[in-house]
Parts: sequence; structure tokens; C-alpha cells
Amino acid sequence: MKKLNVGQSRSGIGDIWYRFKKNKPALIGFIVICIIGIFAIFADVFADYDTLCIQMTPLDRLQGPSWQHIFGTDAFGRDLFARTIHGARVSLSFGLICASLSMVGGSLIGATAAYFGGKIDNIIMRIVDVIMSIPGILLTLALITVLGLGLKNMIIAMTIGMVPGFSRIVRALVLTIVRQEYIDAARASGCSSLRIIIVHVLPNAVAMIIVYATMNIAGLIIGAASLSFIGMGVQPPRPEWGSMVADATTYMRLYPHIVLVPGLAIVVTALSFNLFGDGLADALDPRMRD
Amino acid sequence: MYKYVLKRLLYIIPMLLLIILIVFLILNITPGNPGRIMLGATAEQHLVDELNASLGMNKPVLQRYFEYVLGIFKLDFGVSYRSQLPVFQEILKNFPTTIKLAVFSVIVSAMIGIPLGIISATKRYSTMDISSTVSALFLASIPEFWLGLILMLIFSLKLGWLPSGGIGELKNYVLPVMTLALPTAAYLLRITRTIMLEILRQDYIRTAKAKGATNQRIIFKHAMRNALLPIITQLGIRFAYLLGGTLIVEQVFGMYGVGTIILKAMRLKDVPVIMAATILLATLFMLIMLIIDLMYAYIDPRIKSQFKKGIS
Repeated sequence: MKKLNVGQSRSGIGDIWYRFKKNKPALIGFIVICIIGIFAIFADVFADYDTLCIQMTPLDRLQGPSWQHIFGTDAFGRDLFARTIHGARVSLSFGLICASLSMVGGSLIGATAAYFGGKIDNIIMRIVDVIMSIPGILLTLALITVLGLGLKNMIIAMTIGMVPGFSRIVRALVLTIVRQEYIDAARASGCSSLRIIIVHVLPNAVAMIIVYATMNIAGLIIGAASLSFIGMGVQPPRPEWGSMVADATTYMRLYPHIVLVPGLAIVVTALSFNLFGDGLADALDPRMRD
Repeated sequence: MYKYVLKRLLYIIPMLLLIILIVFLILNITPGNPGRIMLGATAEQHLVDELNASLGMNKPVLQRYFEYVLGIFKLDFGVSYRSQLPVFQEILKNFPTTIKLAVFSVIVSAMIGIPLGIISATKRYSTMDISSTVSALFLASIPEFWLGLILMLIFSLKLGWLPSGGIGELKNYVLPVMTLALPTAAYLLRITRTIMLEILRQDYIRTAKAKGATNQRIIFKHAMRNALLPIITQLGIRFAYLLGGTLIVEQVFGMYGVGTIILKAMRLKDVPVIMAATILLATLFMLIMLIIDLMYAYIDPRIKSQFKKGIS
């Protein structure tokens, strides 16, 4: 990675941050993610889960936005603001956990394939090819059918669907690294293969791998919402943006706000992650642009 | 050339067997109980056991796999646990809806995305470029189901211009196709822009410019010809994805296609149906990829000459 000459020399992370903060859309994305994150972490402080998210109060049903309910209420009289921020908790943690898990899985598999090459590489990549030719949503749904419904199984299913693509990217990255001389040096000084992969290869690829993982978060959040929308994801009454949209479809003709609120929550979050991920990629390697 | 085609065709057979094996293993990790599903919760246990045995559920997994594969060669994908009808016919009956959705969407998205991508690349940083890249980024962040609902809300429920569901007429397809085509167009726009920018940086473009070729000639004669292949590849990949990805749009607009069949089967744990639909869609995906690869070899003179020399 070429270092930009920016007056004085900076550390790796400082350098990246310097370039990142010059990219205004990416910075805005980052700030929005932080705000959503704060709402998600302190969701219980802003709105009580049991009384506002779960408990039904039919008298208050389908109200428009007001001071008492800033986003209005849904068909069961539940506060939409409370459900949206508790939904943020589900979506964000889902996106982060899935991205991290598939990052770890994909890195190990991809690095193994690239490092050993030959037959092992061939076998691993053929299996990756096969899994990738099964349409993603069908693979996820098939796994959920077998594992059963629920958040934990959804995470497992989505992660398994993500790992092959990730392995392929990591493999390509690692292939350029294993040709470097310091890997030969490590091998000559008697390092085991496992040690070379974990200590010498992966740390040099880790920045790029994290960027790829970040770029996948938006897609993961959208995927989770889509699964919940068709009823194969997070189960009611737990608030989740996709299932909130699904609940709202019956009433959307007369009360469009109940379908707009959770939908916009998904769009804003996904857009922020997309901007943030693109900005991070640019900051890390300006050549990756376009 | 023929050797290459033959090699690619033969290569697809083990890949298909692997796909079938993986799908088969995933759906058979847990021992199924189709007898219970077919006869209902109130049926007596010995009847359920008998039915399970007659379906071969007590045979080892590998044996069942081989029997399944042999069946596929005769287009026999087993019988639905639910309707007790042959699976293949049921899927085939509803395939046209899904195919139509995917084909229309790919055509519409190509007509929007590719020209806009070329304009964006040639007039970089113009208002046109910035507005189309920004809207592409927006569209990439909108979930399909929500986009569909919003389009339905505006054009069907509020304005009343288009129907909100059904599959009978052509106008039934307008909103679902838009829902699928807009994000695809956004994706194609980004890809086309990237590919064109990369090509416009090449030496031969500079040479053409130096020789005094007009801008138009450079774009259409020199750049487009080289950009077309990777763009067509992306188009093919998107088409393959769309075939498997119409599920959600089918749900939103109440269209009865393959996606709906799969989802219904998943709710009822109707394994033969899930398996057949997944295998069929994955096979189609592979065939489309194969066709793209062969097309590459056929169209691109560089690849063609490689095989003439006998390097394969």
C-alpha cells in the first residue's frame, strides 16, 4: 500500500483517518451510524421495551405522529418510535455479528486455500463455486427450514451463505501476499503453516478484509429485514424493521406512515453503511476507487 | 474451440452432482418425518411408520441420494409431501411467471443502466454523472420489498394507474418489474461506469485520440466494443440472480411463481419441492454462466485465437 505524502508522516490508522474524514458523504454515513448505534444501545433508556414495544393498547391504534408518539403508533397501538429503536438493536447487532462471523470463517477458508494452493485450493474453491451457484436467498431459506426459525438460526444461515463469497475475496488477497519474500523467510525459519497464516499472512490482509466486511453490512441488514418480511426471520412480537413493514401492509393505504417509518429506518441505516464502507475502501486504497 | 466447449460441458456434470449433494445433505441433516406431514398430526403412529418406510426414509442417506439422482435423469423429482403430486410438473407450471419477471426486469434495467453508465463515464463529474451515481447508491440501499410497497402505494393505491397484484395481463407486471429492475439498473450503472472509465484510461484510446478520432467514434468504435463483453457478463449474472430472487417481489405483489412455491414448501417442510426448486434454479444459474463463458470465447477474438493455437 502506497503512503500518501501529507506533510508529515502518520501512522497507518492516522493516515487512513486523514483521508477518510476528507470524504464528506462517508463521514456523514459514519456519524449517522454512530447516532443509530447510540439509540440502539440505549434503547431501553429512551423507551421501555415491555410497555411500549410489546404491550398492545388498542385505544391508541394507528395514530399519526404527535408529541406523545413522535412516529405515531401501529395497528396494535404500539409506539413506532420505541419499536424502531428496539428494531435498530436487532438489525445492527445482526449485521455486525454476521459480518464478523463470515469475516472470520471466510478469512480462514480463503487463506488456507491460497496458502496451500494446488489440490487443497482446488477442492475448496470448487465447493465455494458450487455453494455460490445456489441462489443466496434459497440457501438461507433452506438452512432456516432445517434449523428452525429464530434470530440465532437466522445468523447461522446468513453466515453460511456469506462465507463462500468472502473466502473467494480473501483468497485473492492472500495470493498476492504469499508470494512476498517475508513469507519465504518465515517458512525458512521454521514457522508452522498455521502460524504463518495467522501471524504473517492475515494481519497484512486484515485492513482490506475489514473493509469488505463493512461493505457487506448494508446487504446483511437488508437481507435480515427481507427474511423477517416474508415471515422466515425474527418472529413477532419482537420488533424488527422487516416484520414491522409486513405488519403494516394491510393498513398502508390509509396510514402510510406505519410502512414508511420502519422502511426509512432500513434505508437510512443501509445507506449510511454503504457510504461508510465505500469511504473506508477509498481511504485505505485510493486506487480502489471506480 | 470445440475442445473447450466440450470440456466446459463435461465439467458441469460433476458440479451438478455436487450441487445436488449439498442441497440434499442440507435438507436431510435432520431426519425428516414426511409420513407425519402427509397424514396429519392425528394419524396413528404405525400408519406413519409404514408410509415413511414406503418412501424409503429408513434407507441410508447416500443410497437415497443415488436413487434421487437416478430419478432426476428421468425428470422425476419425487412427489410433494403436501399435494402428493409430482413435484416437477408443479414447478414447471408456475415457471413462466418467474421467467417473465426476470426477463422483463433484465431488459428494462439494461435499457436504463447501461446508457446512463456510459454517459456517466464519458462526462465524469457532470451533474448527470453525480445525480445518477447518487441515485444508484440510494437504490442499492432500499430493500426490494419496501420499494415494491412504495411503488404500489403511489401508483396503485393512491393514483390508481396500475393493479397491485395478479398475473393475468401485461400491466400486472409493470410494478413488479420496476421493483426488480430499478436496483438492477443501479447496479449495472455502477458497473458500466467503472468498466468504461477503466477502458478510457487505456493506451489505445489515447492513440485514437492522438490520431484525431472524434469523441463519438472513440466511444462507440473503440471503447464500447471492449466494454460490451464484461457488461454482458454482468447482465447474465444479474439475470441468473433475478431468477432466484423473484421470491420477495412475488410475495409483495401476490404473484404465483416459483418463489411462492418454494416459500410455501418451506413453511410446510415439504422437502422434495424445496429440493427440486433449488436444484433447478442452481442448474439454470450454472447453464447461464456456461453460456456467458462460451460466448466470451466466441465473441472475443483474443480468446478465440488462444484456442486455435491449441492452448486450452
